[in-house]
Amino acid sequence: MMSEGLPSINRTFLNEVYKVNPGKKVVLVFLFSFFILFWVVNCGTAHAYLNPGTGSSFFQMVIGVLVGIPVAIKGLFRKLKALITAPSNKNKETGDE
Amino acid sequence: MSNRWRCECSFRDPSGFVFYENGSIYRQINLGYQDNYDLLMGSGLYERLVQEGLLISHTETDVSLAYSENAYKVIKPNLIPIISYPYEWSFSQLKDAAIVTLKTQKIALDYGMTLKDSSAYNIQFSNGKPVLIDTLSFEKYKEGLPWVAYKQFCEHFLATLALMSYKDVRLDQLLRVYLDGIPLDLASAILPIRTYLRFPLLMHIHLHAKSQKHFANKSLGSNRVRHQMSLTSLVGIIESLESCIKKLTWQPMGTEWADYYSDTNYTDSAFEQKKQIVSDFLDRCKPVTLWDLGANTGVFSRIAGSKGIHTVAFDCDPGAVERSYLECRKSKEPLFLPLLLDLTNPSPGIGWENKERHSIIERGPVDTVLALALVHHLAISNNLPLGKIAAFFKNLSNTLIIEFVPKSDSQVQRLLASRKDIFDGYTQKAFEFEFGKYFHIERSVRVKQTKRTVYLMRRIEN
Repeated sequence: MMSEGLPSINRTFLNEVYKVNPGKKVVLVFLFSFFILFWVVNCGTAHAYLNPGTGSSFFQMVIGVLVGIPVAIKGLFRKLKALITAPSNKNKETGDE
Repeated sequence: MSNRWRCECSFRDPSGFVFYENGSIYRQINLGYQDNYDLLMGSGLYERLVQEGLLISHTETDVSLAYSENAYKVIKPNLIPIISYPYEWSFSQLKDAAIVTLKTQKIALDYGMTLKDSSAYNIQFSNGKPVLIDTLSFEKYKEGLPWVAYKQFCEHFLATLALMSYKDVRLDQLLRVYLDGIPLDLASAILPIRTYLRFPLLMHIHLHAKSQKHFANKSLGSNRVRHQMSLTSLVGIIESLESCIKKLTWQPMGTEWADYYSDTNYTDSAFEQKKQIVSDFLDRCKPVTLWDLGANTGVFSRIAGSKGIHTVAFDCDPGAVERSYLECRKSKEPLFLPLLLDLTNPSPGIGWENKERHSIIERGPVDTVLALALVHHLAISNNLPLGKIAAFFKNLSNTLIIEFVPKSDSQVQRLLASRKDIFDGYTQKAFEFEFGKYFHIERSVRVKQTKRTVYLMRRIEN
């Protein structure tokens, strides 16, 4: 039921989370909590004319980790694809010569 | 009286402001914004956004035109035919405006800049499409900082669209009360429980609201700005918002006026004749700008649009305005803009000193007003005396194309079916007398097979 409402990027992330074994899940939760704690301790204020709101800035940092994962995966995939296709393109160019 | 004045709504951002001189609009860029403006123009971002139709184009003018001393540049933006506000937009208009904002932010990040605000009021409709009009909305992106306009985006766009989509399309009118967007705790309280199961809405509205509440009046640390949020996370937030907005939908079904034309009391030939009358009258008065009041889905206003007249089609029914906008978007009508407006309670001046957002009357006058099958609704459904209606119209335009529908017409009979007829003064003679106080009746044509008359009136100059 819940997964019906999830956009594809978040579903990808959750699938990744649910795939890992319980031990790894604990490590993941620990790292996530550590990140939040680290941020809370170090957070500063941005000097903008618009008040970004403390709660909104904090919340953005937290969800940024979550929603950033699909973007990072996409970026990695793009790099991998470039790596794979680059040599073949090179060969093609050489072949043309 | 000076021909030069500063726009009352342009005071929040110290980067610059809008001013008017001799009917032209200018934007002063202050010295404090110099680096950001140079980056916008020099990085290729401005060119890219203008090319993609996301940002209004401008020309740089002589800096000696500056309004105050601390000016770096003065720019002259392309003119927008009419300023409209988010509470006057249909669901899809607001949704398209949200998508333009997010697209702009994504492209800006590619060029090392970010949007420092994401106000829905920074978007206007030009050539039938939403476009960002605030050239000073960009600043240099600093690695690690979260999006400063995230809260504003959620309150202006996401919360409003979610409420319209999941609860009631009329909830966009909350924007008339809440100038800087619908508070997220309020949106969270109104939205149905099932929206907790929609992960993006759970995240960007419900949990976001709880986070705001938790950190209200709390500070998180020193003034040192530390780098904590990666660009990847920031892009993730923008993409998540974009995906969430794109999935929000609303179907205009069952609204009062959206099916109006399939429920008229005259024949196809009479309908065609009425179109011809309107077309002939428009050819006689040759307006540049026109407002169609009570336009429904804009069948008659499109005649004006097709003649090269800048046309705004107002209607009080969200379904009719939505249909009109979707049609306008599909057929790419650059001079036509449908807007939501209840004439019996039109958009007021709101914000600081009631001057930040102008009332609809302050945004006029126009050359011509079209008011077909409207007067009987104002007079009978809203008990407005004909004298008051005429006095209202005299302030809106020089020429008026207006239809009178008598009591004997079945549509008026329908309005009277469930109430006592207290409208003895509602006669064609009284209509001509009251409007004759302010207008000269130039032409009047009876629509065949009906008892209706369409008038062309010209305002009497005092």
